[in-house]
Amino acid sequence: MGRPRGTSAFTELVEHRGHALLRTAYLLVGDHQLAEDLLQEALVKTLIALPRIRDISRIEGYVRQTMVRTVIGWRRRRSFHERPSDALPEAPIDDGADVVATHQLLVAHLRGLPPRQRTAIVLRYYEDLSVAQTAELMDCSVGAVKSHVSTGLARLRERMGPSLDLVPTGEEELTS
Amino acid sequence: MNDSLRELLRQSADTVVRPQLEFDQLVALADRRIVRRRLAAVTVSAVAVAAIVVGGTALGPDDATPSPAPAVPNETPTVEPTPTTPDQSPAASVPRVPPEDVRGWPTTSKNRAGAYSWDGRTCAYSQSCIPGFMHNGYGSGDVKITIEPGEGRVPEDWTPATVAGRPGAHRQVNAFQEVWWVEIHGRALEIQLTTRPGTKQREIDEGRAIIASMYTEKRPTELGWRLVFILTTDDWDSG
Repeated sequence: MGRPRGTSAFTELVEHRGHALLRTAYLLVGDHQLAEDLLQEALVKTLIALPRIRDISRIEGYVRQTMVRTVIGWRRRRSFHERPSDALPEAPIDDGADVVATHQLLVAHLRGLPPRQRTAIVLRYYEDLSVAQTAELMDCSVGAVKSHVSTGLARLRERMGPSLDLVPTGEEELTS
Repeated sequence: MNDSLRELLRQSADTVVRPQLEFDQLVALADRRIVRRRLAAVTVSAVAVAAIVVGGTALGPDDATPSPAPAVPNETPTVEPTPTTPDQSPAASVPRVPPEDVRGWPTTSKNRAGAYSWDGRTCAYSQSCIPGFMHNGYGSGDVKITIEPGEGRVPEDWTPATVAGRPGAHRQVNAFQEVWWVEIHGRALEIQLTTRPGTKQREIDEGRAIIASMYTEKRPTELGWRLVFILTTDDWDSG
């Protein structure tokens, strides 16, 4: 049986962009194993939808969007994949000496954010997407993205302390 | 600005090792999901043919002008096998809503109770309506409904059931997932209801009631029709 249109693009995506997608997935879920599950789920869904994807050149965007939608669904269903905890790690005392601890701390605090705030921050500051692009990927309004980012940064700033220089960009200063 | 955040995010992402993604494994997983759609459904096909022959109107519930007493498949006992429980088989007779009161797919924000629809089109800004995904995110978030275009015909080992007023099939995959299959004007659809351990029975019933409320009506969409369903609470969203 012949493979559907776009299979070669999909294969190429898996081969060349799989690692990048997994990195994003990790920041979205804050757990290595869960990130692999998320990516695999998104890829399988994309593979099934392949015949219906009109613009194959946007297949990576489709996978990212599927990851985002899936993780938001997972997170809404709170106890499906993780249990919220108030016992987050302490900020490192010697913030210049332990970079590893700092980014582990960041991941831990990111994981504690509501899913939309975390997703918006990852897309804006890791993927470097614009507010409009982030809104499109999250299927929400530009205003909602600004609000999610602004609130999420405020929470991170509050939890991380002075170890991070977290300020909303000009686009996101409108909301608190 | 926020360079330290960007840098820390990158450092965090750097801890991710290259994934062991095997294309063949992904294909196998995908095939496993769609294989049931590819299997021949002799029984259901025969039922559909019988419905056409016996009922005449059994396959034509798409009323351009819905009537107060909608025409529903007038199925014989052969056409409509008794489901194991009433909840598992969406009813053939469902109330219809005036077309102008039917909205599109639920948004990612809070949606008020009412009639919504799936028509297989992309959303305004994305493709997130294909497949359709919604859950009771403003409730417990424990119940999820998806509508995915399927392929092939329903496996014969599924339980025949009426779906969207048509002969279809139902399968209880496990304690937390059940699937309805139906073909509408040559387009196979798979409707999944997924719950989780501890989900309240009331919420499961609500999810089943949404599926039970489904019917089709002709519309100028790409498909030429849309699948209408009723949300009875404000809990559902597509985010």
